[in-house]
Amino acid sequence: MRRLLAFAIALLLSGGAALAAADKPKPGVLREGRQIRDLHYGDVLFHFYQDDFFNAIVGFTAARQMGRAEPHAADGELLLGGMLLSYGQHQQASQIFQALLDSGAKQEIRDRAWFFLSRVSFDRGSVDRAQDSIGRITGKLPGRLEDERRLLEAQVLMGQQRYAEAAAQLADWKGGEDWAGYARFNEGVALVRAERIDEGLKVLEIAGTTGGSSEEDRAIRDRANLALGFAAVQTERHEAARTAFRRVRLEGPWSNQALLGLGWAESAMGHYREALVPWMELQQRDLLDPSVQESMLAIPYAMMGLKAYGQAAQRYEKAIASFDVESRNLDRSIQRIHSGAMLDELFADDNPNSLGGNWQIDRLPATEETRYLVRLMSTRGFQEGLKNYRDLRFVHANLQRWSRDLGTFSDMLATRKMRYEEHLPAVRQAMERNAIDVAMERRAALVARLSTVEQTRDPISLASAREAAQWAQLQRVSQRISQLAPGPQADALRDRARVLQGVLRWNLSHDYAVRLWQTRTELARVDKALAEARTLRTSVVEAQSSEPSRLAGFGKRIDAQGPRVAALLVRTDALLARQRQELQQIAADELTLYKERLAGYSSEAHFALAQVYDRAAVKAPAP
Amino acid sequence: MNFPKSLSALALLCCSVAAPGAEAPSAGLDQDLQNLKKDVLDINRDLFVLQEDLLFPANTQVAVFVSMDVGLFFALDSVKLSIDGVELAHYLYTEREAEALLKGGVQRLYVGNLKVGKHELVAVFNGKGTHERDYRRGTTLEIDKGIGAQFVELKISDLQRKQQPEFVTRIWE
Repeated sequence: MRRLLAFAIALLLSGGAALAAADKPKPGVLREGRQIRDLHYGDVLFHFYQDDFFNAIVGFTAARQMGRAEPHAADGELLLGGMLLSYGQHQQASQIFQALLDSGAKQEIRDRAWFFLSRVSFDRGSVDRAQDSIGRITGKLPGRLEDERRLLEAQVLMGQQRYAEAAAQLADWKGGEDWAGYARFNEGVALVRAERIDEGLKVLEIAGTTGGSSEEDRAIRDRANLALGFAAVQTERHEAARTAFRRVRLEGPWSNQALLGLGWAESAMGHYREALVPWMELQQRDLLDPSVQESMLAIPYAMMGLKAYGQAAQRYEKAIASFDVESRNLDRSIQRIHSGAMLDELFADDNPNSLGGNWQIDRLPATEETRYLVRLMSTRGFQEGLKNYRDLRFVHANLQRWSRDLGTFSDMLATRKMRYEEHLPAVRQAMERNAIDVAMERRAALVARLSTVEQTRDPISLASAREAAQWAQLQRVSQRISQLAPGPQADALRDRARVLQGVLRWNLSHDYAVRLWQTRTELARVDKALAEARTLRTSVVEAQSSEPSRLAGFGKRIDAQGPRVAALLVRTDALLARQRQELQQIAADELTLYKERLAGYSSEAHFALAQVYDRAAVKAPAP
Repeated sequence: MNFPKSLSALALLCCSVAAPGAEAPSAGLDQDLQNLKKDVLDINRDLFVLQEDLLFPANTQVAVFVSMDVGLFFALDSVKLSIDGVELAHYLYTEREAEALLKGGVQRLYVGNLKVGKHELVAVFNGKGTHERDYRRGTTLEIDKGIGAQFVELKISDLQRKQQPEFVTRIWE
């Protein structure tokens, strides 16, 4: 259910784009019509798509608190509700969906919220409430979510024993092919339960003979054939029943029931020898399975039909002995469950950092209880209890990690305080030197000079250092020439110096505009650097005054979390103990049920055996 | 022999697909569990925010994200991230993580702190290109880190025109 739900939310996120049935999307299709508008929201989805609901929820709520993920507000709330549902927080999820409905959200969002509320109610066993919620959906849901709505509505109707209406809801399925098998199977079952047997058998026949080749498709076909077979036997259509049972795979979750049913169909037609074939096959299988247990009695029943009374008696005795051995095994296991040994072994290699629902069945310990555990894990009560217990172990590991981290945060903060106090005198000294103010004064002088240059259009002021040196040298040379005695030599030198000055001035005048622009650009760079330095100085000044209170603020926040974590750890420990007790009780109750069922079969076998002996006594009168 | 009785019981068992979920067996325990998990989610949110504020203050924070669009021409195996020549992350993707990226998830590959100024970010992607060939490609980005958090997206997308992957970097405001 969790995977289906996660899949439904993925559909919801895709904005109704068509999807393949498998978890892996067709590349390019899923993202159609959907753009991530916030990286942090994308990070939430990254966890969500890995079924890591806990971290996805924490990431989403933290992002929301930090003012991130806002572009996805409405979708985000739906996603959060769905994730909480997947994490088992149905109350919180319902509150979110309800809040969305109360907030006057758009109709399409409201419809989806009603759908999820209906799903929550149905999963929690509140069929009427589920009916009420699903009835409030006004429009068509996007994409394949609409198929899910129709299926859920039919399931709700069946839960209310309104089988004819459920069948009508599913008739002429025009939804996606991926759900067609489910739809036909449910329709067939609904028709049979509505006592419209002929129609029901016809629909189950279609469900049992059509569909794809995936494991899911095969499993649905098996179930349809099984339902068809039993319905046919009950209405004495034994040939049809035999055909249907034979279509069920020999290895699969429904194979034992099919083998048992096949035997019953054959024996009902008086074919006892043929009935023995599937029932003998069941003898090779796990005695905990009710079909296998029943076959222990069915075999001697067939032998009686074949008038092989001696063999029948032996078989009954064998059944009684097997039931006794199994019953004693169950007693031992129930004791081990109560002592806590079984759960200790079950969780010995389990990673506490893994969430409750992600349990790998191949990790079961190799003990004598393993086959009981496998069977227990297929029961809803134990599954739920196990998931809750593992969730609590995860919570415990999570809180312990935070407890350690809070200690590290405190140490880190103390180090920061120390470093701050160590660096403060040096920073203050640097501030006092006021290098930025000096630079600002120099910059102001530069601006004033540039302004004068612009007014006078004096190109010499924009000379490079080399050119300025050359100009100064020429000035000095001219000065010295002016001190020479008049004459042709002095005149020639004066002319030469004048020409050189003229060339230099001409060059500088020619580049005046470019140089002025370059100087302005440089000044702009200086302005930017000075502005950054001023900003930095402002932050340093602010930090000087605010850092102590900032550090103190962090200290308070860290100190406040410590007791919260500690209190939650106490609550977690208490709940872990209660949940463990509950899980042990569920397991023991379940095994007690197996034992009682075995006792019932055992007394039936005793009774039948007595009948065989009586019959033998009648046939062989005393000499 | 109770032939019809057992048959009807099994028939019911096999047709139970539409049965609604049962109420939790111990409502009190379930309620306490719901309340505890809610409080644990709340404290995790608060501690997550505290950790971010403390370790990665907004004025120095830099976070690098990885995203994928389509993925027909490239299957991601790993990514290596360096900033200013220092290797900060070398991440190997599981199949599940790569699928999450394909579905539209965005991975926060790295979060850390950087000083104001220019920095060089280098990301090297390893994976399989078309025809299962090993594919390795680097991309470089110059970041001008100002005051305030900076988020960088490394995006792998398909370049249909050239039938090969494209590695794009983008700075988010």
